[in-house]
Amino acid sequence: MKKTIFVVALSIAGFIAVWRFEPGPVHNTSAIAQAPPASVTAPSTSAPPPTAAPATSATPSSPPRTSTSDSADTTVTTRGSAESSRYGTVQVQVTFTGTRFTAITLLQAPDSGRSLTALPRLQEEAMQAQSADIDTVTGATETSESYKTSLQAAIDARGNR
Amino acid sequence: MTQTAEATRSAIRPRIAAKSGLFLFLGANVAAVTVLFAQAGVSQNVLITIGRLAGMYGALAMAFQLLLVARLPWLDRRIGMDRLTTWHRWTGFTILWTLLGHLVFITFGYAEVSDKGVVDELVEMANQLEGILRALVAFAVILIVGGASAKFARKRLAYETWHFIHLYTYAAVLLAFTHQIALGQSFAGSDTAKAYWWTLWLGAGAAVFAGRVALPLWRNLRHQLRVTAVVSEAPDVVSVYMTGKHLDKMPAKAGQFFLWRFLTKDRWWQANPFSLSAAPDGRGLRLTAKALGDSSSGLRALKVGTRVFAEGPYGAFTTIHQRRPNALLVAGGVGITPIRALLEDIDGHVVVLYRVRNQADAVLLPELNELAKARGAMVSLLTGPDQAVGPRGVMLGPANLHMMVPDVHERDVFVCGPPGMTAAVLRSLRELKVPSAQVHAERFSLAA
Repeated sequence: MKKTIFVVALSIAGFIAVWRFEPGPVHNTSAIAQAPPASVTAPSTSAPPPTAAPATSATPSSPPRTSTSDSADTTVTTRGSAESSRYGTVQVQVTFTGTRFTAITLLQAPDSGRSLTALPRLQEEAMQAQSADIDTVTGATETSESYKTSLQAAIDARGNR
Repeated sequence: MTQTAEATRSAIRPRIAAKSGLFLFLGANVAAVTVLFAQAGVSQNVLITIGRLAGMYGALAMAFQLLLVARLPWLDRRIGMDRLTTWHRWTGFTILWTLLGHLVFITFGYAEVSDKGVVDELVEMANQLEGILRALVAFAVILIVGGASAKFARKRLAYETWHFIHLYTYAAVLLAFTHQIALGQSFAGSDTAKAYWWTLWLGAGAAVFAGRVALPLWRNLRHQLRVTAVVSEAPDVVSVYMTGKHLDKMPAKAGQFFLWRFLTKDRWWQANPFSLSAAPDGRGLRLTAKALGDSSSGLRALKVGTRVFAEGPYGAFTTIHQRRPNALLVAGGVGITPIRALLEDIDGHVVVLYRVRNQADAVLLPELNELAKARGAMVSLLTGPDQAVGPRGVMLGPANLHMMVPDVHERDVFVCGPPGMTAAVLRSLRELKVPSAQVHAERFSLAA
């Protein structure tokens, strides 16, 4: 009997542990990948909690004001195209300060499957690369392509201004 | 006479109705799942596509499994727990293989797409995707449960230990279900798919809850069984008499069994399947059991007034399956208990063959003879060692059966006894070409 109680207690503990396990990126999924200067005007989505920032901390922490290549520090927000695949629709909105992205917001995104982990990675890669020329995330090829196309469209839209 | 009697029985045999109902239900769901799969679209990777399909069929098999173990009275009365248990076993194998296929194909598929090692890919998915770890744990649990149910393990485990391990399946189902919600491509694909899966799982869950929890609790609260007498029938056979409230409302029939729990300090956790050894008369119940394991021998020590928790009635060994006006009842050893109860309940002319090793083993014989006299039935006691061979072959061989019961083709045959004897009788009946619709056997050893 004592053994049974012990086993049951152990099982419940194990079950709770498994139940509460939160996989890495998925729960940090920030719909917005944001660079430190938070002077963003556009996002309709609420800003992510500060704890989500480390995910994008690889972006230069120095404010764009100090960057030399830039002539105008104006903040511009453009929208990318809505790209659909069978896994859902991806559409981004990019906030530029000068020519740098300071935020990429997901206006539309699939809410399930492999895309869940793929999108945060794509966001991070795009912020680092400061371009749409990024690697496809494995296992989410179509979502990655949608993301890149939409992002490129947003960048093009900025260029046309 | 045969004509009119048959006309009064329902046109469709209850077992056929229940079986076809279940198969139709399963077929419709397989079709629905296949359509949902097609709607969700295929992946560019073939392995992933196969893996997804396997996962969806695995989920369906799990839900169907819940329905089979729910012990819904409607199914149980018609199909019988012994048959349902056999199907449960097959469904279990199906689950094991489909889920293994799901795991292997999905992992290899994604590993191929992402150019990673299989193990790396699996670890990465478990770390990064919601519900993968849960699914892996669920699968491990199912492997353990399956292993414990394999024949060689089952023989070495006490029933209670095995049952305890088996209960972990419910945890596995819960984990697997949340995995499906979190990641299922089809699940998230469309509202129709979502509605379908929710309905399926909620329905399966409700069936289990109703049949395994709500109904037994309600019945026991209502009837409040207590032991009124414990009577020794033979050195190793004992009868337990019970009474309770509203027993006339209990839908038990002669030939059925319950899973009995006697609520004493040291044995409340043991549940044993024993048949009723008398037709329920609305005032009391009686079981008769042979001391096979430690559980049955403990019955002798039961005190009058002990509370009893009984799950049931279960079993399809009843007169609802009777096709013919007359019957032959064949009992082997302690298998006499449901036969003795049936003798009270069954209509028409009845022949009882009671096979025992020696006269001393023939429990309940006096009351059997009394009942037979009262209703004009014929009881033959067949004694002798197991393999005894006479001039017409083995005792329950075709030649002997035909000699003892020349009109056996015209009768329903109810057989209950040890597995070896039951198999021998069924073989003889097949050789005598007794229509299988008229043959009813309770595989006693499977009832647990």
